[in-house]
Amino acid sequence: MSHLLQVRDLAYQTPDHRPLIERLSFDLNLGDLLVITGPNGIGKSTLLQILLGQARQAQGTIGWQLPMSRVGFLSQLHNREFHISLTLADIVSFANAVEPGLIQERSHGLLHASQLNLAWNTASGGERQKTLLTRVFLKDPSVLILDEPMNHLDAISRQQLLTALRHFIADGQHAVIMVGHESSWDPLEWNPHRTIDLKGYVVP
Amino acid sequence: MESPSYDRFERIRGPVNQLLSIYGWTIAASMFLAAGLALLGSQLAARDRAMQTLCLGQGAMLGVLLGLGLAVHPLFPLLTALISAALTFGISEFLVARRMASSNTHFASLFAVLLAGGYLISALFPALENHMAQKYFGDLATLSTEESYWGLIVGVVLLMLMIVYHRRFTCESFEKAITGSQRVGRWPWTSFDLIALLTLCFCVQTVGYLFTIACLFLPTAVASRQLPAGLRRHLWFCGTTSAVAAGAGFLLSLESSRLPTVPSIIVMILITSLMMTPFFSRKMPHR
Repeated sequence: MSHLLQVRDLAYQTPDHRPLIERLSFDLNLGDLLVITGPNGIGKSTLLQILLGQARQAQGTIGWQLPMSRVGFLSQLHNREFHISLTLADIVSFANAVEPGLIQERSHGLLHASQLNLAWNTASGGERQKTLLTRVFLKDPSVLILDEPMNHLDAISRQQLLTALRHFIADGQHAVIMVGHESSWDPLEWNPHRTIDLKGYVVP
Repeated sequence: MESPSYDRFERIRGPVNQLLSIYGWTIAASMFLAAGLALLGSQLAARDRAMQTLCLGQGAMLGVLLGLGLAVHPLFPLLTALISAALTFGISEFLVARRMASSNTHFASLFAVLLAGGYLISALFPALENHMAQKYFGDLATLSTEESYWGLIVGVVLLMLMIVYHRRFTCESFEKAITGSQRVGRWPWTSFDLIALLTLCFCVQTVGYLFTIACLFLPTAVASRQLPAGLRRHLWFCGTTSAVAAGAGFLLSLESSRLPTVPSIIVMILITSLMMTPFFSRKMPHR
């Protein structure tokens, strides 16, 4: 099974019924890295919510060829601090118990065992993002959907993220859909299998 | 011949045994309820629902007063508390649905309306004046034996639930707080919501609003401010300090007829949590 998702003639609007996008069609196959881009307010995050079944203001067909439990999602950070002061190890362990010695391998190089004792509330934006991504990796999803994962990351961390995602899809058993703001990623560096610029699908 | 120290021990043991034979079940109930509430409160605070919980408690209080005023059956206040708290939950969720901005203003407004409602009900049923003070400020020493048994059962069950499912509940709290994830499910309530609502109604009805709110939020507020990172550390701290403080505060109030039980327990929670902070700040294993 190479087909994971088929989207045909998708049209959607904002929650207050303002038309956003129309005639959007694309496929996602095993081993794909698909990047969705476009300016602020064009509906990139809304598209992800529609793909995940969390928003229903859409027409067209969305055909997942796998159960939704096999789809992992990392949204943008809503809040930076958490009332209970957790360590990064606590957060990683919410997904699956993993030996500290294996964390580097299972996180595709994003986290090291020495970082696990850091406190979430005082960790840097990059460390937090990598921890959240590791948590999703540990659930071993077939498809990973990421909403602007490059936010809060410096150049080195962005490179680590790119390497981790390439490593994730390299076995041909996984795929990634990623929303990226135009200014936060370099198409030449990332070289995705397909880029969808939502500007081309805006309702006139 | 007995030694002087043995005599002294016997002199102390007599009254303590007597007090324990009268209040033993109530002390045990207050300790387990305090520990269970502290763990529940940690999750509520982590979901930024402290203000909403104040409203739910006030909603439960309004139901209790209405139930007592109508005086249909001894269990009727608990039923009306459940209905009223459930309605309050529904209204509060509706008020803040799909809003990213802080919900505190909406909750504060709702709290004021419910407070006024409680006062109106007490005006309609003048016999409620004494009950109202009792339900707000509580007095654990006046709990009946039956209430103490139920308190102990609810406390133990709540504590077990919060311990067994602590990782799942914390994960849900984290998802909600950090990623703002909206639950998509068949039911409008999660099992956590149900546990919180039932506990709140029972506690407001039996041990009072003040004890409930203080045990829910005081320990976790101190832990969040004072302790180094670690989930187990936070939860152990909240559970242990609340249980110890509830027992110590209760015994302290029994020692002096002028000290009311609930304020004594609350002062003890503050003192105990500050005293225990250095002990819980030491290194702990992750699992």
